[in-house]
Amino acid sequence: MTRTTSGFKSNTSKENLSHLLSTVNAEVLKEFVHRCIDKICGRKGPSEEKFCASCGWNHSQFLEANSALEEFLVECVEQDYNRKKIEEFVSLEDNQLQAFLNCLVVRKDELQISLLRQYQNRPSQVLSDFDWKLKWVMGSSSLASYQETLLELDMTAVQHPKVPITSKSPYERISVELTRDDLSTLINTLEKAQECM
Amino acid sequence: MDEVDRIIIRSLREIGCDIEEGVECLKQFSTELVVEAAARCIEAIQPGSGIPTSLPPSMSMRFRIGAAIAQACTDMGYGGEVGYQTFLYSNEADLRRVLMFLIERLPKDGQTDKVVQEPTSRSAKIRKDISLTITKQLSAPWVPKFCRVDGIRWHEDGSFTKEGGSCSPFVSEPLQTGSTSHGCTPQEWREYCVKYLPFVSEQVSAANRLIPSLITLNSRGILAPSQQHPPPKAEELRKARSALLKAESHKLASQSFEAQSSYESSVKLSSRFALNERLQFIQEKSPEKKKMVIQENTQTESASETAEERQKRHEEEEELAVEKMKCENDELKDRIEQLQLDMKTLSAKLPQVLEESDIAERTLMDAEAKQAVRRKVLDLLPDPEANIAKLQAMIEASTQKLVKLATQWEEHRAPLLQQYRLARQLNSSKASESARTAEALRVTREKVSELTEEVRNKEQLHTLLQAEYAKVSKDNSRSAYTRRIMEIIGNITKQKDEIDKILKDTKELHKEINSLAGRLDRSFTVADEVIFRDAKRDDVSRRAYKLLATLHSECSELVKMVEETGANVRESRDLEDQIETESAKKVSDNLERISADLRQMKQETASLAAQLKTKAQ
Repeated sequence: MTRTTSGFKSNTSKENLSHLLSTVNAEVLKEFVHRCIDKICGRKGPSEEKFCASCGWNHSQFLEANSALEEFLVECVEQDYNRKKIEEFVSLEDNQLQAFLNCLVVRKDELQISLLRQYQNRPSQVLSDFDWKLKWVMGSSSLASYQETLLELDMTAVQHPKVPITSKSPYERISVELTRDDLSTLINTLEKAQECM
Repeated sequence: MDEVDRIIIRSLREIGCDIEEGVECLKQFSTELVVEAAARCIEAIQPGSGIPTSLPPSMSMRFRIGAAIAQACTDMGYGGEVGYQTFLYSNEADLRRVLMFLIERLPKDGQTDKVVQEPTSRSAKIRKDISLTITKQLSAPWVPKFCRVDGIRWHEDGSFTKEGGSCSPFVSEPLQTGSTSHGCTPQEWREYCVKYLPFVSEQVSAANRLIPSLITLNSRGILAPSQQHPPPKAEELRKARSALLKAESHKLASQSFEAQSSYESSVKLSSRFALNERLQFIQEKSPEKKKMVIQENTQTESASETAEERQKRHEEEEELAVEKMKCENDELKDRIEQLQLDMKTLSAKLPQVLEESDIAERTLMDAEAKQAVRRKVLDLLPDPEANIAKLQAMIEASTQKLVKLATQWEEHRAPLLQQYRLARQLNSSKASESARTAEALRVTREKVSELTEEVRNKEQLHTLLQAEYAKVSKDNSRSAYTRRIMEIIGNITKQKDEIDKILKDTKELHKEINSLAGRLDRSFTVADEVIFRDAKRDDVSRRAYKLLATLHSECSELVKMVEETGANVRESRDLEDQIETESAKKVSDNLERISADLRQMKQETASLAAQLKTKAQ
């Protein structure tokens, strides 16, 4: 459950982070932290154009700030850092630190829930969404009038990546076509599984 | 033959052969032209045959092309002898036969049909495209869905068609609606919601994920209803007017909701199956589950435990605050109601009061007017005689003044009336004139529209006639040919009549000759007998008989000679004909060309062999 975050690399990334964030205005920092938390929770992340313009970063700096901040946020939530501990890791001015802590307090529960879910789903692919279409088969190559209903079930399975999210798409689509009997079998099996839980 | 050649040349020009103006018969055709004509004919009959229309310099390639054309002719069912030599070393008769065969096989009216079918308007073009696409789709075999990425199907020729509906996958993302707060103060939460929480439409990373995300969010809300929410609280929620109270109670409600939904989403697969059963299921088991999740949280993470405690403390504090505020709110509500009641009664009274004041003002004004009249009368009362006289004088004066004014008025009125009448007349005349002009204008306009209509009709007719003319001009040559053919047939019948006449003459001559020969025979026999009888007695007669015999034999010999001469002349004429036909075949010419080509081929072969040798070395 816990991640080992100590080591040369993470320390340098924290130094870089404090270096990058030190020039940023508290309000903008707050916005940036919120967007990074959004990204961890599986939504749209910070927009590069906006923050590059307002913080004076270039492309690689933005990417580095983003990934380092995400890493640090996850660490804060996992280890439940208090103010002192955070001060130890990143050197920020008072109002910046206050903004950071405020974000963390507001979003902590959301972060915890989404991280918990990610860890639970980590070892395997997990169904995230499904969609269905009802089809009416008129005939086949061997039968002129076949006439049967088919359900096309499109399932989207998601492989939760290591936090932070990598660029490769974690979604995989699984399409199956089910007859009426297949469908009832599937639903029964799922319901049985649910009762066992 | 000229006629046939002309027809052939015209047909060849129609299918696009570049024949010069001066060429009028097949004799003038060069080898290149012959090959081009044959290749174009075959291309027109069987599109895609792929025979080149121009001859390459290499000899062997030339032979190959000639052989290909000959093969194509044979395949089309040409009965006569045909080979590469027919085209490469052509003689007139063979070539004429082959070209006539090919031209007969040309598709009829192909070009004119094409012109007619060519789509003229945009809508026709679109319709044609649609029908083409549908035909293509119908003729293509069915393919499973995974062969059509994003519903796009690629055809063999590189084009594509869209089949199937929307193909963006159903992928949802967790949305934050701001209706739930977590372990922080409400002020902080509000600040976050107002300042930093983007709209739902901006939270998703791609636009096509918005709808799936919203559906999932709603279905989660349905599957995990806030069952612990007590009904009286919900009643209050609806009634509450103060925004603060709303936010607070909402927060309380959603905390329990969040505990449920977080468990839902974290522990189980989200599912929309069997909704009703599921709802029941949750109702029955939810308290247990809540406990379970708390246990789990305490087991797994110390962080979540502290969050739990903090949450409880918050709840208690907020509970107290809510109670207090509710009391205050009730008091305020009572006062507001009281005031509102007062306001209502007062505003009901207002219009009545306004009306009353209005009536009073009016009566006051009436009374004032009456008072003024009475005051004047009272002023006049003291000296009645003098005042009456004064008044009468005043009346007199005013009547005089009135009369004067009337005369004055008349004076002014008459010219003005005159002027008015004049103006009216002018106006009416002008109006009539303008009406006339308008009428004329209208007529002109109608005429113009009529004329434009007519022009359009005429133009249509013109185009129609032009099209017809284009068609007719093609047919013209056809009728000319029929006329020509009829003429030729007439000529032939005339010639046949003449031949018949000559034959009859010949027969008559034969008969005459036969009868003359018979008479000669008979008279000779008689003369022979008479002279032979006399010859026994007379010497002179004997000599005469001898002379007769020699004369007869000489004459018969002469006749034989004449007959022989005639036969010889016929034979020589036959031979001459033969010579002519043979010479028409240009055998010697062709032989020379063939030998030249052979030499060239030998050279080519030699050069190739040399190349091979150099390469081998």
